[in-house]
Amino acid sequence: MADYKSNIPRLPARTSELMANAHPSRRAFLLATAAATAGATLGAWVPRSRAAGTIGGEVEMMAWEGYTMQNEAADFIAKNNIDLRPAIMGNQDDVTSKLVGDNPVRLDMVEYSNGYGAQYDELKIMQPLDLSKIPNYNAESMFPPFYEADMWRWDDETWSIPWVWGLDTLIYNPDTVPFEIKSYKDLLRPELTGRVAMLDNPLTTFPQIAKVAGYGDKYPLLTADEMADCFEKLKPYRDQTKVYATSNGDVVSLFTSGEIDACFCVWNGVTVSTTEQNVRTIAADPIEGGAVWADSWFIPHTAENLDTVHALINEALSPEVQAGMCTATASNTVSPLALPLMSDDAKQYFDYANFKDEFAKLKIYGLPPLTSDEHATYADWIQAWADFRAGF
Amino acid sequence: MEDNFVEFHNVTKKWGDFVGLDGINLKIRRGEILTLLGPSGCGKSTLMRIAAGFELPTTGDVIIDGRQMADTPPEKREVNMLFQRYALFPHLDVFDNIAFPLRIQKRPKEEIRQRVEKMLELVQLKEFSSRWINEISGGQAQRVALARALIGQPKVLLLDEPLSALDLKIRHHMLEELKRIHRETGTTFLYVTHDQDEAMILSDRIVLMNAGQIVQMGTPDEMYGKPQSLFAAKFFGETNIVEGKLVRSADRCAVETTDGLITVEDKMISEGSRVYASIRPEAFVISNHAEGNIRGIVEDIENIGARTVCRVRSGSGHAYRAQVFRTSAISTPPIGANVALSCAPADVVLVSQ
Amino acid sequence: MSVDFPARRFYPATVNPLSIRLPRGWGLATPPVAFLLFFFVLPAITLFVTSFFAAQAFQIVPDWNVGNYLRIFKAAGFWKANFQGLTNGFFVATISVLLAFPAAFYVVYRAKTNLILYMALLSWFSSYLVRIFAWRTILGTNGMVNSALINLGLIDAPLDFLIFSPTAAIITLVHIMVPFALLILVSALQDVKAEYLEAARDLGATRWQVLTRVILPMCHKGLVGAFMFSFILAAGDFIIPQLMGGRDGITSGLLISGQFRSVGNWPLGSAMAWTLMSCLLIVYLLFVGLLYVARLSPGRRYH
Repeated sequence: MADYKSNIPRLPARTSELMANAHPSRRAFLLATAAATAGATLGAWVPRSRAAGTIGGEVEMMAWEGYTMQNEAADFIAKNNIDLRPAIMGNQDDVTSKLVGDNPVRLDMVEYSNGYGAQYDELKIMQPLDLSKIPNYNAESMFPPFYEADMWRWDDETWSIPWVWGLDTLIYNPDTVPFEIKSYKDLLRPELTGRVAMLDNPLTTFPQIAKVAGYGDKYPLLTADEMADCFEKLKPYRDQTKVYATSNGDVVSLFTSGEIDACFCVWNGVTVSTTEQNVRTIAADPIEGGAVWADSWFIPHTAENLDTVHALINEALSPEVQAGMCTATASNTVSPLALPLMSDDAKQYFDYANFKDEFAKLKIYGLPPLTSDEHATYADWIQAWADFRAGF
Repeated sequence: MEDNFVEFHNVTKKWGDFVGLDGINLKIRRGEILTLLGPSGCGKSTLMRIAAGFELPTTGDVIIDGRQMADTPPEKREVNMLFQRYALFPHLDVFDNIAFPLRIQKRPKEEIRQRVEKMLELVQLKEFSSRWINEISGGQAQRVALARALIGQPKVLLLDEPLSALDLKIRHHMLEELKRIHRETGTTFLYVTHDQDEAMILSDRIVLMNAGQIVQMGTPDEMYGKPQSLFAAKFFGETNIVEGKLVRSADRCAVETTDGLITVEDKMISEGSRVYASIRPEAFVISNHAEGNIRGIVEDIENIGARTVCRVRSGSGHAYRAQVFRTSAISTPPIGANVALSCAPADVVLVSQ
Repeated sequence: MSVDFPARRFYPATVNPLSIRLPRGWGLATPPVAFLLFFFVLPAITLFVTSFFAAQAFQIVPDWNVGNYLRIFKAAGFWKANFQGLTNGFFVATISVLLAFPAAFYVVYRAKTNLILYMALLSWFSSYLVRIFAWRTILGTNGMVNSALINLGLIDAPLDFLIFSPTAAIITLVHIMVPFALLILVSALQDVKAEYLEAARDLGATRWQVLTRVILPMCHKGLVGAFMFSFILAAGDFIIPQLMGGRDGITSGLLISGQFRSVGNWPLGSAMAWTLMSCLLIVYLLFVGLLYVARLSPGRRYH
């Protein structure tokens, strides 16, 4: 545990003398008042003191909006005097930029999506979790694909634990699209010219690009030529595209304002949001398949207050919090123990009853590597995507 | 026959209820310098701006060189104005400022060069043609403005208190320059000022204005020596005003005042009317107690260079200012002396209100 | 006994080590100059130096090379985006200045109160993003403009160039920039006192001549300021092109921000940023030159 910088003011050494003085001069009176005030405010300056081994105190968290557990784990947080300070991330790069370099910022617990762990491992900005402090993480309480899987555990250490997940797939408006979409190729039909949006999110879009080009099995490890081929084959889709949406919320707004009829690939929670605004959208089940996003908690190398962080991660896996999160955010749960606590509405986003078979159809994709000699790197993909968007 | 170049017929200017000019009738002769003189707010600047075309009269006509100006905007009138703060264009140098009106008319380059150089010589600024406006002094700027206003050979030049921004010494010099340039160009000048000295030195005729009306009009001598109203009398130089009643007897006409009778020239004013006698300080002769019309005690003596002004308090409490020139032949009475002030009847001007 | 004292030894000489004649009161300018020095000049220089380094997975490797610039020159994608950005900038700056100038003229010379000025500035009270989404509503496929035109029977199908196109980006950017341009022009025009305009008219200038020979040269700084301010902000903006520019409206600002945020390649991002800045500098020089040739600059001699 790191030392806290002490901001305790230096009290005048003569305080006791001042107090004892029967006739304080005006100057002494002022000094005494100042000292007393400083003393009274001490509490605000010294971090909440607690014995080692107990939990409580400040936790600097960075997470997606709605995923900070402030509501779902409110009781736990209050009962343990945890001072949760969440910062909201707009995209994964917001986290990366805070943790790399010479002056990283203190963050105690942070989310990453899917395969960003590999990048972060290469950048050496994570520290392994102490599983003894996370009893809720065990084989009975986690669905098998999320327990001790490669994306979150390597080198015999658990580096992060997935806690919510969801599907990314082709979403379209069945009321305005005159046919049922069964494959990505349906997006190329003339009725959809200029009515398609592509989400500008590498994590969501890249796997689908690879799938559409036929490299779905090899993604994220493609050679430079294969990657170039992907974008070449994507060009007809670009001709159908009206706009590159900036976020899930942007996609929702595009659907509800009637600008687009279909989105290349986006989180299926979007369907809930559009329905709330009286526009119906459904998630297609294209033969190319969808992708899975999974958010996991990790502990950065700049973290402090580790006991509390572990306790919070443990709480995130508890059935109550899982059920609460899934209901609030239309995400899917990682814990079968949460299912009895979830309403039918909350469970509608995945066929939990046939979890094993249904999940087998999906794949949780990683990201292209940061550095590589034989494969196209993350930077290469980003550059190719930028060029593609610029029209090349 | 009088050559009336600029005529104002019944010009009235109102802003809402406020009357700036009230039925002005004025004729300016070709080639003269006419000065509009008056205190602030009397309407002289308004009248000038109406002549320039920046304001339109509420009623009345302006005629310049026989042509009605009602529908003519300022840029089409052949009238140029010399602004109070010169309004020289800071983005052009002296040469280009002066050349501005000619470039507007798109005159050929060579003609512009010749005319500008002639103008520069006229205002004696030949070496300054490449200076920028922020590099020249106030007096030089005024001459540039003058050159710029005259180069287009306007029919009338309007001068809006052009000397007010200058130091006293330069002011005098510039007055002479203006007179010289007026002689050399023969342009009609309409001059506006609140300074009576300028008006007296420069003008062929002075028009005294107050509260939107013309109070009196005439040559400087007429204005000074024969004021027709109390306002006019008080405006020019110093004067002593004595109130009284006109009395007539067999041998003389006089004004009966609290300080005695003052003999005046008979001007057919009805007997018994209330009049004001205006007597200039220099008209008084100070003598010892025995002779003279007005008796009093010398209260204060001001020695102002070439002249001495004595303040004499009369028996009835009225203060008179009498002026004598300081020469060896004349001695001034000391403070406290009993003196008598007398003046010739011709030097007493009677005004009615 | 008299002794000659050399003046220099006994009078404290305020020696200026640089021997530059500083204008009086230069001390007052120190805070903003220092601020600019530390928070603009030095970071810009740092960025420039960085642009010659290489990047390795979010880390900067100080390895001098011009590889980044070569990459940029060969990247057709960057130049296309850059050109789009400069085009946006040009249209936005021109339209903003053309819209703001008459309004500024009115506020300075004709209006009795500053009401119009405050109304134009009122749009600043709403957030930048709110305004963008407001324009989406107005220009959208089912938005106000299209609905009105369809209801009036003037068009059959919604106009597709109105939204998610460079046109939409330009319209939105103009909305953002006009208050800036208006403020700058009002400030510049307030120095052009009405007396100058009267003098010019008095000397025979028509209204157009007053504008081109007196007003514009005298408010030259304001013109350049308003134009370049709008241009630079519009050309470098990456939020509006992203949200309103559509498929074909990508500008270089977005690519630059991508390099810094997604890829972590600061050297390449810096190189792109400096390339963009050089382009903007060229635009500035061209614009000032254009004004000079068009005889709209002060300080020219015509004889």
